[in-house]
Order: sequence, then structure tokens, then C-alpha cells
Amino acid sequence: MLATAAIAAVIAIPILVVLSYVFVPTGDIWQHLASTVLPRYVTNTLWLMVGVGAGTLVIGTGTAWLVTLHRFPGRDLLQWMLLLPMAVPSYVIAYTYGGLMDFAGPVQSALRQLFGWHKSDYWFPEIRTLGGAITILTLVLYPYVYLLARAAFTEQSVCVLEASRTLGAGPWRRFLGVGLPLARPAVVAGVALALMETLNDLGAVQHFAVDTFTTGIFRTWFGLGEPAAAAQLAAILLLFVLFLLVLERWSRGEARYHQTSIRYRALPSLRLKGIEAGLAVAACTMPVLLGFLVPLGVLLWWAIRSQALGFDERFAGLALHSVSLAALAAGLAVVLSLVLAYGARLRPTPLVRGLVRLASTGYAVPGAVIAVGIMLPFAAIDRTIDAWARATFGVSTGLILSGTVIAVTFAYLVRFLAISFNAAEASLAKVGRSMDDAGRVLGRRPIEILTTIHLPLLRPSLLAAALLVFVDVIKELPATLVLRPFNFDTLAIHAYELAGDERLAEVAAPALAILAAGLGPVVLLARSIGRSRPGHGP
Amino acid sequence: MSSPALALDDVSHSYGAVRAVIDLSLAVAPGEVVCLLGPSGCGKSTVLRLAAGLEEVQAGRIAINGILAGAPGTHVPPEDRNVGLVFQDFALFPHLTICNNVGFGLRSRDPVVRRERILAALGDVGLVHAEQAFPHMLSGGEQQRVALARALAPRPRLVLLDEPFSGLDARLREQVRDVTVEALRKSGTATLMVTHDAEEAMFMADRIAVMRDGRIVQEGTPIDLYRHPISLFVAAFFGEINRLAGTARHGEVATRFGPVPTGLADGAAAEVVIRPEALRVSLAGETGSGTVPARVVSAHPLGRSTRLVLALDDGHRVKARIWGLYHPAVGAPVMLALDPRQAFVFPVD
Repeated sequence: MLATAAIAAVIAIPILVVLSYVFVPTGDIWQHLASTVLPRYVTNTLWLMVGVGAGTLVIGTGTAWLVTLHRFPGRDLLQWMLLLPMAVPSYVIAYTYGGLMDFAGPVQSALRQLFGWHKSDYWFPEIRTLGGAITILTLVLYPYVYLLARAAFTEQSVCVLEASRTLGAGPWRRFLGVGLPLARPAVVAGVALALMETLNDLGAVQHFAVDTFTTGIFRTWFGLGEPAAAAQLAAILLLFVLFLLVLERWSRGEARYHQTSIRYRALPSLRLKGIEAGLAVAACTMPVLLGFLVPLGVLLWWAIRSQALGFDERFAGLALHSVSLAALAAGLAVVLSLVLAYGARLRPTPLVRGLVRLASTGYAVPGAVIAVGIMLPFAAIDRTIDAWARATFGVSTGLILSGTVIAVTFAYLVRFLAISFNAAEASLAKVGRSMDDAGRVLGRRPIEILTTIHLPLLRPSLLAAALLVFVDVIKELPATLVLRPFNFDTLAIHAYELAGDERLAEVAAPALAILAAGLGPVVLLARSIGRSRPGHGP
Repeated sequence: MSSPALALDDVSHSYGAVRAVIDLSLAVAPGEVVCLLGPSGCGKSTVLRLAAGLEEVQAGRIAINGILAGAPGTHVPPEDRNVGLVFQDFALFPHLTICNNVGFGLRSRDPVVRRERILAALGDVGLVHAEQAFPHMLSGGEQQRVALARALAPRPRLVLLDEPFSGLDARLREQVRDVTVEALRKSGTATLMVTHDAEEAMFMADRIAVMRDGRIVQEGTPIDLYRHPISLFVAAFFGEINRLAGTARHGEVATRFGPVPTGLADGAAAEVVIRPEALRVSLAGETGSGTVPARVVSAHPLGRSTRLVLALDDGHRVKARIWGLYHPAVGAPVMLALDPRQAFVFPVD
């Protein structure tokens, strides 16, 4: 109970620190920012959100509708392959398309060779633009919408869809008039999640030279050396996030009212033939091809071309750093979530519930914002301790918290605790209260009930949650970039630095490793898709 | 005389502003089976949770085997009460085999003793063959029996049953009920059972306490309650009824079926309650037939009995239930007579 409240409060600190900067009086630097770069940050960020929102909405719901309610060749395969782009971090897809599409890249070179064009003879879409950033972010983020929309379509009562058919609604009216409105809460939540990831992105927009809030925070802090102004930018970004959070929570609440009946049957799937089937296959293959197979192909091509694959000793060191950070964060996240969830279950007081909710909003907060929210207080604490030690003992303690594994692990927990907490809470909720009661009546104390009943029942979902956190930490870029200990490079950092130096071909080794790790959650999700339909056996 | 297995004295309990149990007193003697009967939301499940120690006592006191278990400021936690509880949803641990479920509450660590007790408990409910199965592999009725075996295995002096048969379909219910009664009698443990099904209560109980809005409104043997309900509520709870309005005059209420005796004061508005099976139905003109003519509105043969809706001369409709299959034509004339022992008079509230 006390532990629950304490954990939740500590996790909430960075968010509260940044929020407090909304009210800090503005200095000259802020005026400067506001009159120069801020409008650009706002426009770019808004356009990015509009573009990615629309793109993920169309691709996510469209493909979900096709695979849940229609039969066409390859549907079963595409059903889970559509998740594959989730395994590709946004910065990796940005690097691959950047390399593929730029002037010296293979596509333009081939075109020039084929048609004998020269530099100014032809028009080619410039990939390193806002439009390019929207496209590649859409390609890796649509699976969020796809997953939730698919679940919503699957859970919809068949009856309404059949009713609409008997009332003469054609396929488009069934989709736009019945299926989509009923799935709206899930779709909105999916888009909100995709947009949270968009705001979090640093590597892709930076590589494409699109100035957003996230890149602005970095430039203001490290370029201009103005942490306070960076914190204020972070605070504004947090307001965007808050809007998305409210949108997501609200739509989740709505979901209840959209559930019409709890009778399930096998979904009536419409068999598509001829051209229709061909179009459906094409529509579902394109996202997989562009969002996963092309980046994978480019990485493999780079790896083969550069001969020395890059899997050397240095690579082993980076991988070890990544894996040990990820394992530490995943283990802590699972243990802490279990304490949080079980505490909230035993004593669901409003205070505990509120703190737990606040602590689990971290997933929505961009890594850059969390980094700012941790750096500021940690640096202040370090300075205080250092000053005290020097005054008292005459020795300098230097940096104790900032720039250590503690700081970066803390950031991972703030950002990813929600993943493991939601898993722990959801599976605890599935264990009926009468289980606890039965255990107690049969002579066991609450702590024994946790170990003999809950832990064995929760083990599969806790392991899955640990895997999700693990992979997310491996992929994480912005917070790691700021908070990692000096000279402590991870795979993601290495890829980022190589891309920054335009040594794209060398990105292949770390990027392939990250991508391989990212396949873990996809496999988990794909497996749960197979048995997600209620009433269809275990 | 030994102390009761369970004694509740003036127990009250609220959830926030909702008063679930009000000044309730109830005792269960060793070996006795008592049923708390009432509609859902009347507070009967709260009584069980209080007895089990899953809720702390807010007012009053609860003693188990004569030892104080719960009172304001005193709370023996459920794990120290040695009380068995069978849950409505059975609450079997899905990750444990039947054998380990039943053994969960055993205190002994000696494998030989444990094995013996588990097999004995499973034997009493006829499920020894299923000991290595997991709960989801069993039918609903079998799961219920495992839940009972698990509650009885630690040999509690008191077993609490929370709507134990409500999760089962009608046919299974009777069969599982027989097994349950037998196992409970054999164990000799005191039992407090909660149900909203009057027939179930009558079948299981030595004594029934009818609850309404947090209070016990009547307590007695099943036959007592059926024969002498003290209120319309209790009468209605034990089955379908016909209600006729009337007025008390000289210790009687006049009805279409003749006078029914009452203790109500002269002039008091009264309600006469007649059970469907208290109406004797015969064909018009048959010897010994009743005195009140009526016509058949509908007849539903239900197997063991037939339910009739009949219209009296004045258009008033009554329900009657007679044994066996009987399907008169709609509109057929019949004669009715009343068994006055199954007619009750209550004051109008």
C-alpha cells in the first residue's frame, strides 16, 4: 500500500517537473525562440500529426477491415504480416529510405542509367522533407491502428453486420456506415497511440531535417545550452501529449457503449474473387512490403555490400550494453508493476488509484521530455550533494545520479512501466476476487496468495510484458541519447551516430540486430491474434 | 450444551451509504444446515462474507464455536477461522490440478496424511478418478463438487455455501444437490447456505431464515414457512400465488371461494393469498365438485403438473396447479373448491 503509493509518486516526478515549467516566467531566450523557431516547430509538428494520423487511419482500418471480414488468397498470412513494420524503429526506416531514395541512392541512379537522364532532367520526390517523414512514420506506425481496429472488428457482434446486409447495405456502406462507427473508439485510440510515437520520434525527423518539438528540445539544450528553455519546449510538447491522452482515454471509455451484444459466432467472411481479390491482396501487401520488406532488404544489401558485416568486437560490446540495460529495465518494470497492481487491488483508495494512473501515463510522454524531466532534478541533486560534500569534507563527489545507469534506467521505467503495469493489472483483473477469498478462507495470508495463486497465473503475461519492455528499451533512442553514461553506447546510439555521419551502410549491423529484437513482440501479438476471438476456444 | 458453530448477534454492515445487513441475529447449531433465503441484493451474501471473515464486522458480534471471531475492533482473519466456503463461481485455482486444489487448505505437510485426506474428500463427492485433471477439463457439476471437496478437506466445523448451485443447469442441479447434502451430512459439519431458490432451500435445510432488505423476516423449518408464512413477501417467495382483496368481518374474510379465517380487526383491509395448488379443480357436474364455477383460459401441461389459468364469473382470473397431465379445451367449464389451510390472510400495508 505504502510501497504502491511511493513507487507511483517517484515515477511521476519527471512528468511533474516538466509540467511545472509551464508556469516558469519566460526569459530572453524564450522570446528569441518564440520569434524565430517556435512557429516552425509548431507547424511541422502539427502537419506531421495530421499526416501520420490520416495515413495510419486509412491504412490501419482499411487493412483490418479487409482481413477480418473477407477471404482472399494469403489472408491468413497477411493477417499477421501486417504487424511486421512494428519491428522497425522509425529511425531505422528513415535511414534505409534516406539511403534508398536520395540522389546517389540506387533508385535514382538506376533511373538515370535507364533513361540516360542527368541531374536536372527529371523530377523525383525529395525524401528528406516533411512529406517524406510523414510517409515513413505512417509506414511503421499504422500497425497500432491496425491492431486495435482489427480487435474491434473481431469483437463486434456479427448480428449488426448481418442485419445491415439484410437491410440491403453494400460493402462500402457496411464498412463506413456500420463497421467503422462501431469501431470508432478503438480506431481513435490506435491513432492516438501512433501520434504519441510520432511525437516521440527523434531519429527520423532529424535525419530528414524536419524541425519538430523533439528536435527543438535537443537543439535548445545541447546547441544553445539553455536547459530552462528546453524544458519549456518540453512542457508545450507535453500539452500536445495530454490532448492525445485525453482523446485516447475518452475513446476507451466510449468503447463500452459501442458493444452491442455479447453473442459471438464465426465472423461471416465474404469471399473475394478475381479483380477484387487481387486488389485486396495488393492493398494488404503494400504496407508490409514498404514498411518491412524494403527496409529489411536495404539493410541486408548494405550488410552484404560492406562485406565486413560489422558484427565485430565493438558490435558485441554495444549489444551487451543494450541487452543489459534492457534486461535491467524489464526486470525492474515487471517487479514494480506487480507491486503497483497488487497494491491497487488490495486497497483501491482514490489516492493510490490517482497516483498509479499518473505513473502509468509515461508511455505517452516523448523520451526527450522524460530526459529533460530527469536531467533537471538529478543535476540539481548532484550539485547540492557536491556542494555539501565540498563544504563539509572538502572533496568533490562529482556526478552521482546524472549520467549514470540509474538515470537512464529511471527514464526507461517512466516511459515503459505502463506496458508491464497494464499487463499485470489486466491479468490480475481476470483473476476473480473469489480466488483471493478462497485462498484466504483456506488458510493463506495475502503475501502467500500472491506467490501461490497470482504469480503462477500471471507468469505468462508478465513474461510477455517483460519482453515488450525489453525490446522497447533496445529500440529507444532520445532518452538514451541524453541520459546514458559517458561513452556508454548502445546499438541504437551507434546506429544514430553512424547515420549522423552519413555512414549509412555501416548502420546495417546495429539496425539489423534491433530489428531482429523487434520481431519478438510481433510474434507474441501474432500468436494472440490467432486466439483473440471470444468464444473460439482457448 | 455445546455452543453453536456460528452465532451472529445484532450484526449490522454497510457498504458506504448502503445498509446491507441490519441488526441480524442468527445461530447455526453443530451439524445443522441453515439456509438464508432471499432475493438478490437482500444482504444474504454479506452475511456469509462476514462469517468467513472476508468483511470486518462493523457492529454486533460473530462467534465461531463459541469463540469471538469478529466484533468492532476484533477481527480474526479468514485464514485463521477454519471455515469452509464454497463460492458461487466455485473459484477453483485454474493452474492447479484437482488434487492440489483440494489439498490447498490442508495444514499438514506430511505427504501421506495429505494424500489420504485429499482422496477421502474426493471420494465423498465421487471424483477420485479426476484427481489429476485441471479444473477447466471438468463439467460445471464436477467443478462444483471439487469446490465442495476443497472446502470440506480441512475438516472445518462450519461450511458456508454461496448460491452453490446457481451456476448449474436445472438437470445437473438436482443431481449435484443430492451429492452435496450427502457429503455435508457425512462430514457432520454445520452449514450455512445462501440461496434465492426456495425449492433449493426447502430441499437442503433443517431451518430456513428468510431475509429481506438486510433483516431476517421469518425463521423456521421448511414446512413451517410454507404452511405459515407471516407475510405476503414470504408467501410469495415460496411459489406462485393468487391475491384476492377483501375486508375482515367477525374474524373472517369473505372470498369467492368462501370465508377464510383471520385474526385481523373488523373493517381492516385484507389481502387473501391462495396458492395455485390449494385450488381443487373438477369438471362441472362431477360428484364432490367445488362450488365456484369458472372457465378455462389456458392450460399448460408441464409434465408432473399442469398449470391452469381460469376465469371466474366476474372476470377475475386465478391460477391453479394440478397434478398430472390434464388438458381441457379452452373455454371448458370447471368447478373450483379451496383448501382453506393453504389460504392466508395478510393486512394490506
